[in-house]
Amino acid sequence: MLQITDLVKSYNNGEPVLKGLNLATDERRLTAIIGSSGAGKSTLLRCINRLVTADSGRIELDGINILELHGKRLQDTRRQIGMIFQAYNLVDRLTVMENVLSGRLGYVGTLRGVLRRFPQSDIDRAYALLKRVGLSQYVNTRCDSLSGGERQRVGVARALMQNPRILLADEPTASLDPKTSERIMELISRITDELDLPVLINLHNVPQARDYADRIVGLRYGVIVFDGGPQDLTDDWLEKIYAGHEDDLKKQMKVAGEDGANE
Amino acid sequence: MSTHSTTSSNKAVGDHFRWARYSTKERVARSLGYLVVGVLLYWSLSTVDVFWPWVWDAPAQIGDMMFRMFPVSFVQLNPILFALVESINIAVLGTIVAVFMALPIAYLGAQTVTPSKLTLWLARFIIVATRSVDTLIWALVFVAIIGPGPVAGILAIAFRSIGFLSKLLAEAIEEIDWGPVEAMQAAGASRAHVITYAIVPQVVPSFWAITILRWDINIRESTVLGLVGAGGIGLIFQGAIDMFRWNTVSLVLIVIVLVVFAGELVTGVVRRKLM
Repeated sequence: MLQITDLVKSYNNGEPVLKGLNLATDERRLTAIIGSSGAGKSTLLRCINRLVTADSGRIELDGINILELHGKRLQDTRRQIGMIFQAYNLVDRLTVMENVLSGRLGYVGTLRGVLRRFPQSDIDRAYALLKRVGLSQYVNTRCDSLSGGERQRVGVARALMQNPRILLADEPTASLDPKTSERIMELISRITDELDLPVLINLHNVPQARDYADRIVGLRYGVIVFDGGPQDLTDDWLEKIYAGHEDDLKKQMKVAGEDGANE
Repeated sequence: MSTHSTTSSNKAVGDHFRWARYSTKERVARSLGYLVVGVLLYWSLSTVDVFWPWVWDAPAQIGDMMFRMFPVSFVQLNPILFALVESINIAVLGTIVAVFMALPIAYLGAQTVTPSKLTLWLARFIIVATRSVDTLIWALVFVAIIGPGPVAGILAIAFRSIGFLSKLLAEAIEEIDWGPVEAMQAAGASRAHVITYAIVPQVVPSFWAITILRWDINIRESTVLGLVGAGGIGLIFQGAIDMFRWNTVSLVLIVIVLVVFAGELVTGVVRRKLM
């Protein structure tokens, strides 16, 4: 379904962040991408929905090369790719409902979107999703009065509003305290399971990756060094993935171990 | 400079320290500076051709004028109040017209969202051009184009305000959190959608603060537009001066001060509400 071939990306003509990366996703599986900071995890996800433009390679979604699209066709493909952000990226001054419905903007015409006249089916879907993520009491609350965990729930609902073919999540729990972080991971994992939705998720937290992922991809300096099930991810592999960044790894293992320490 | 002065002037001589705030070099430089300012002052005074007897005469003239201004005459109160309402309306309408013209210019003038370098420079040119021409000059231009009256005043206020509004709004747009914009793009939203969902909500508070501030300025500016025939209270003001009705002039001045004061109060209240 999603097929990445020889993906290369460098910023400002510097050392490439992604060096000819190849990755294919599986249907209905949660794939966690782990690696130290600067390994290229975020860049990889952002290349997929073209928030950054890759230098070369191919990213095919159902056979269409995303890297060649422009304008309307790019929008049509982007709406099939949901994304959850580390910083939630909600519009603070808009209500929860408006934020969730904004996930539908790729489907509605310009005037309908601007006037906030969404089809009834979209509104029904938004209510259903808000109920599912446990926020139905906040429909008309402005997002700036929500807590971090609640905001990320809105972020999840907004991404699913797109009715996407695939979900990308860029460290969705990194801004949250450990308990909330667990809850959000649980929500993402369960809800995507219910919807049969494949997920690519960047995680900073290795134990979470082990707990929730069906498949783990270890990224190191723009190259995939590990690709396997959570049971295959031995400490030896972890050391290889995080070599040179042992402090990084230690910190992440500790977060889950103590379950009370802050990121 | 300061390190230099401490090394050169803090020399120990016997049991005493010799200390001076400035070194010799600094003292010479400062004296030269004073000299240059003095010469400039003399030169500017010599070119403006001041007729000194009139200047020395000023205190007597002020006394005389005060004597003629008071007591205030209320004979023209009604036309003054009508003209005042016109002035305020010129300011309000001018601000509204300016806001509508400033919105697209602000969008083009914000570095982060402008479509191309060309649009950015176009917007910047408009901003600088409208700001560098004073309201009264704009009023003269519009009086020449469409004849005297409040419409010329409204357009003068509007054109003067475009640059101010666009520049501050463009800065507000440049300062928004970029996250929501990316989220909208990632959802496949069009440019119009990104603007209405990610940009507009974030600049709304700045928008109102900037607009109210400009409205406050425009109230003041609209009071003088009548001097060049562009409507409002300035017309009565000039008429009264021309006819030496000083006790009417004083009423106009008092009314203007009261209106500006009221405008200040209103903007203060609105701004507090916006916070």
